[in-house]
Amino acid sequence: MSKIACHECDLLLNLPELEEGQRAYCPRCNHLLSSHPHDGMERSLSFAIAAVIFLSITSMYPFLALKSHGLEQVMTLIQTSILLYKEGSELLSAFVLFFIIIAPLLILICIIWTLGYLVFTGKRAPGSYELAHIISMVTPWGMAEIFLIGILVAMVKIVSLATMVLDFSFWAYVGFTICFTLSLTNLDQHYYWDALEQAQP
Amino acid sequence: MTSAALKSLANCHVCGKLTNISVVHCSRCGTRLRLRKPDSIHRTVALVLTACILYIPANMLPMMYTDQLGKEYQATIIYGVIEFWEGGSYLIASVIFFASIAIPIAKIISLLWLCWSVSRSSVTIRKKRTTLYRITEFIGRWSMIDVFVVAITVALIHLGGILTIRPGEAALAFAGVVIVTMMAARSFDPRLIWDAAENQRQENGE
Repeated sequence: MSKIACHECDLLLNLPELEEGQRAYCPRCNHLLSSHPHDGMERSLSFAIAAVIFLSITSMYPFLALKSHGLEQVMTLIQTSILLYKEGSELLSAFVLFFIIIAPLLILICIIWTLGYLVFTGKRAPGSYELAHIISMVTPWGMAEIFLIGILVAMVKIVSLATMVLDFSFWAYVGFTICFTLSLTNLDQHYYWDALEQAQP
Repeated sequence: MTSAALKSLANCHVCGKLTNISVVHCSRCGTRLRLRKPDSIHRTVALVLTACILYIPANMLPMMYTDQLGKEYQATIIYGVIEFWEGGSYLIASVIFFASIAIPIAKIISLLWLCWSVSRSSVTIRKKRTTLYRITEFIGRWSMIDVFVVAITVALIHLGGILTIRPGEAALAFAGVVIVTMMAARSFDPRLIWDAAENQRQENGE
């Protein structure tokens, strides 16, 4: 049992030790207080590593191709941002780069460093609290899954002008998005912080 | 049933540890402890009003310019929706309509209403208002779809004089609307919804 307060209604509660697979909701406002996924930390770490591998594959190969009147043009993921910059929308280009690459990558690096250290050495990595803080701050701004839906909409939009072909690294980005999401859902903030606190520095 | 604040206990907003407010800094992560988010209502209202102002250029100016064989076409957000609808892509038209038009307006209205209800110390439908807040916070980021569509189309279609698509001014304004409303939702403190009833109960000596 540990004493906590619900983050959304401030109700003072005793949080019982959760069995693996159990979730606890606030009895007053129904906010998800904590969940205890099977091997949450290990899974979060594995998915984070897989996501980084997928993202590096994505950056190496063409992302989308365009075919129109016998012309073919390929683009890479990073060009989504670069072309906006070249067209004079510098600020927008920075936002897009941050939402689809930098924010997710930053979160993944923080997860891998803190959890990797914790799982393999049983100790708390230097700077763990700061990095854990970064994870919770940056999480809402990682928009990989929204970007994927954007690609589908863009595909329909330009269908009358040209044919869009999903290239090899598009599928790697899909894998990246799935692993990134799973890495975050397996990381329960309550257990994560407690595990960091209990570990020796 | 009592709130932590009445017992002078503060939830650290970074690590979630419950500590007595007199300690000032969280014993685990060192963050400055606060019982409630500072100036929650003022900040939320200010950010929502900023979003309202940005919403005007986002809808009036073009999202994209299309240069096709020397001719220039412009497309605003609503024009994009109409184009999809007339082209028979009803699903995509609805997705864009909800993401770019309905959700931002709904977010602005619901945040203003939440702020108003908290400021007049309403004690009714607390659970429903909390759910509304939760939906508002969750759904906001999905409005970014249209901005990504612009980014992808611009990156993909630049075939010189034959066909080139350039980003319009509305794309940045609209990204601004989404970012500012997300910040507004995060600066609102849902615990305020529950405080009015707690204070009332305490005054009644329960």
